[in-house]
Amino acid sequence: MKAADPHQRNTYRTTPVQSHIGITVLLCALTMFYVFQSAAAAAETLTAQAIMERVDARDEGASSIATSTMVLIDRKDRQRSRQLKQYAKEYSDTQKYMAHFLSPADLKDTVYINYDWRQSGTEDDSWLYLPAFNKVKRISSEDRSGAFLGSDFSYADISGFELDWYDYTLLKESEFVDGKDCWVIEYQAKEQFKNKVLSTTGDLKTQTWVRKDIFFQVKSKIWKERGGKIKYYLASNIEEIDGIWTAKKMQMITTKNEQREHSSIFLIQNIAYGGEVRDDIFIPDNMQRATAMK
Amino acid sequence: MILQLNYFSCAHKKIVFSLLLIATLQVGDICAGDDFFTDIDITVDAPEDNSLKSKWSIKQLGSYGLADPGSSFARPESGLNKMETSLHAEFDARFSPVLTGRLELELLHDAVYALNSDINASEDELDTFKNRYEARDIYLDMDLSREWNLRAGNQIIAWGQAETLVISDLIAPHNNYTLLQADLEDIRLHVPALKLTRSDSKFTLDTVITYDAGFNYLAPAGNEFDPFIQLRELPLALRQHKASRRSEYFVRLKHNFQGGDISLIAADANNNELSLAHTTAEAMHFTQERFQALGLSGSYGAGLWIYKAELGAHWNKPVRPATIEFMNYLQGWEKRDQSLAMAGFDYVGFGDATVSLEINYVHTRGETQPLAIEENEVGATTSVNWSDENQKLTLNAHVISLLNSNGTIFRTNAEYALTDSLKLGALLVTYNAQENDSLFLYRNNDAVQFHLQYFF
Repeated sequence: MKAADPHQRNTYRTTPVQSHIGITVLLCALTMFYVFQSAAAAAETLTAQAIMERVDARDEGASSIATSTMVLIDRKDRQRSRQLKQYAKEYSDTQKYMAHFLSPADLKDTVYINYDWRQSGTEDDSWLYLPAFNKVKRISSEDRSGAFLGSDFSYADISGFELDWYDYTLLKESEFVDGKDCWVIEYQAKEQFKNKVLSTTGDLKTQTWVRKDIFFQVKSKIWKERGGKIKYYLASNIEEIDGIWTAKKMQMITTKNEQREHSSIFLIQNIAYGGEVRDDIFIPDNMQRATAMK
Repeated sequence: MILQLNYFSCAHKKIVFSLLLIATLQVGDICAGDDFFTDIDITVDAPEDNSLKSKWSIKQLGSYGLADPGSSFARPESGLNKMETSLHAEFDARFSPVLTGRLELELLHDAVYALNSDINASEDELDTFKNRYEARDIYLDMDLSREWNLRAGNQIIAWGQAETLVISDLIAPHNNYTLLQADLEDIRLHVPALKLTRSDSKFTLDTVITYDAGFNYLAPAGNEFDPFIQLRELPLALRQHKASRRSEYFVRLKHNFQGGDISLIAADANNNELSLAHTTAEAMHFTQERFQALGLSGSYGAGLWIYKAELGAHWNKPVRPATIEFMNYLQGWEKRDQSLAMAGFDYVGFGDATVSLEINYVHTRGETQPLAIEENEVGATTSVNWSDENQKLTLNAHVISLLNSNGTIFRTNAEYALTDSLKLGALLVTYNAQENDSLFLYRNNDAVQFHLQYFF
C-alpha cells in the first residue's frame, strides 16, 4: 500500500473510520503476503538436514584456479598478509586441493596438498612442503582443529565436514543477511561422533545462515571447545563466476569473552572455474616444483 | 513501507511496540557478531605475476659458549664464539612455459675473531669461518612432458623418513661445522646433480647422478667441534681428499597409496663421512670410500598419528677403529656391512603441538671388538614442536640420544615473528656425555644463541 500523496494532504483528511479500514487493509495485505510466502515455502519444505545436504551438494566447479590473499589481524590491529595460489580439481573418487604460498618471503613456496576421498569414513591425505627443509612431509589430516597456516580458519573450515556426523536443527525459517533471506540452522555432533568431532575440529556447535536462493552459507557462529572461544564467519562479495556462486571475501574472527582476539580475511582476487588444471600439480613429490608448474 | 504510528489505536500501538522490541532484540543479537566485522580495514596489494622473482634476507646471529671447551680447543673459556652476519639472496626465473631456474647464494662474515681476542683460532678456522660464501640452489628445471622432469645443477635432494640416522638419505652431505647449533634447515648441503623424475598419481621414479658432491663439512683444526682434535697432537698433518670416483648414482621408486607411501632406494655412492685411507710419513690421508646401499622407507597416517619406518642395508662401509686400536689401522679402516633401521611417529593430539619419536638401530656384521662401535647400537630422537594459534611464536625441543648411549644432545629453540619481515630467534644447545662416550670431548660446548632476521 502506497503512502498518501503529500500534495494531496491539504485536501484529503482521514476520518477515524477510514483510518481503521486502512489499517485493516494493511494488516490483511501483510497477512496475505506471509501466507503466500509460506505457500511458496510449503511447496518446497526442507528440513535442516535437507538444506545442509543441498549446501554440500552445491556445485563448486569441476576445477578451479584462484589467486588469493589472506590477511591476519591481531588484537592490536597489526596485519600480516599472505598471497597464495589455490588449485582444486574433482576426480571420480576424490577432490584434490593444492595451496602454494607466494608471499611473504619466509613462507614463499610453502605448499599444502589435500586429497578429500569421497568414500565416507576414509581419511583425507595431506602433505606439507617446507622449502627450508626440502622435504615433503605427510601430515595428519585428522587434526582439522588446527589453524590453517596461522589463520583463524581451521583445516576443517577449509576442507569441509562430514555431513553424517551431525544433527541439524532449523532455528529460524527466515532471517535476512545483507538483504538476502536465509535459513538459520544449528548443528551439533551426533552422540556417537561427539568425541571424534571434538578431537578433529574442536567445535562444540555451529549456527549457520544459509541463503535460500543459492544454498550458500553466508554467516556462521562456531562455539569452540578450547578456551571458551567463539568464532564468527562472514562471507560477502558473493558473485556468480563461470556459473559458480563464489564468496570473494571471507572473514573469520576469533573472540573470547566478547572481545576480538584475532581475525583473518580471505580475499579471492581472481578465480576461474572449469579450466584446465594439471593433474601433476597434486602429486606430493612435485610440491617442491610448485613455482615451476603453472 | 513506513509505519504511520499516528493511525494506530492504543492497542495496536502496544502490539507494534512489542513486535519492534522483539525485533530489535533479535537484530541486536545478530549484530553482536556482526559488529566484529565492521571495524576491520585492510589494504591488499594486487598479486604480481613476474617472470623474475627475488627473495632476500639478512641475519645477525650472536652465540655465546657457556663453558670452557677444553685446553685443546681455540676458545679457552666461556665467551662469545660467533657473531655472524649473513646475507641471503634467492632468484627465481621463468624462461619459458617449460623452463625455470633458481639461483640462491649466501654471504657470511663472522666478526667474532675481531671481537673476542681470546679465541686462538688456527689459520684453517679463520679461512673457513671468517668470510665465506655458499652457492646453494643453482639449477635449471625443465618439464620434458607432463610426467617427466629434469633438474640440473646445484640442488638439495632429501629422501627417507629418518631425521637423525642416515639410512637412505644418502645424497646430500651434512653441515657438521657445529653439532646442531646451525638451523636444522641448513644441515643438508647442496650437490651438483642431474635429477630425472617421472611421476604420476601413483608412482614417482627419481634417477639421480651427482658429480663431485663432496663430503660432510667438518669443523676446522682447533675449533670447538673439530672431529680430529685428538689427532692434532700427532706430528702428522691431516689431509682430507675427495673420492677418486666423483660420480655417484641413486634411484628411488616411490608409491603413493591412500593413507601412506613407500619408497625403495638404491645407491652406489661415496660415503659422506671421511675415513682414513692411508698414512705416510708426513700425513694421515682421509678420504671418501665407495659403498652401496639399499633402503626401504614409508609412512602411514591413521587419525592423529603418522607412523614412519625405514630399513637399510649398507655394504662396504668403513668403520672407525676403537681408540686403543687406532694405530693398527693407519693404512685404512675396515669395511663392514651394516643393517640400519628406524621406527617412529608424529602425533598431533596435544593441542597445537606435534610430538615425534624415532628409535634408531644399527647392526654391524662381524667381529666389532676392535671397532669404535658395538655390534648392535640403539639411539633415539624425541622432539616437540609447538606454535601458537596464529603461528607468531614457534617452539622446538629436541633430545637426541646418540647411538650406543654415546651422549645426549638437548636442543631448544624459539622463534617469534615480530612482523612478516622480522623474526627474532633464540637457541640453547647442551651436550651431555660420560667419560667413554664419543661426545665426551665436546661436553663443554653448550651454547646459547640469539638472532634477528629481516626478509625483504
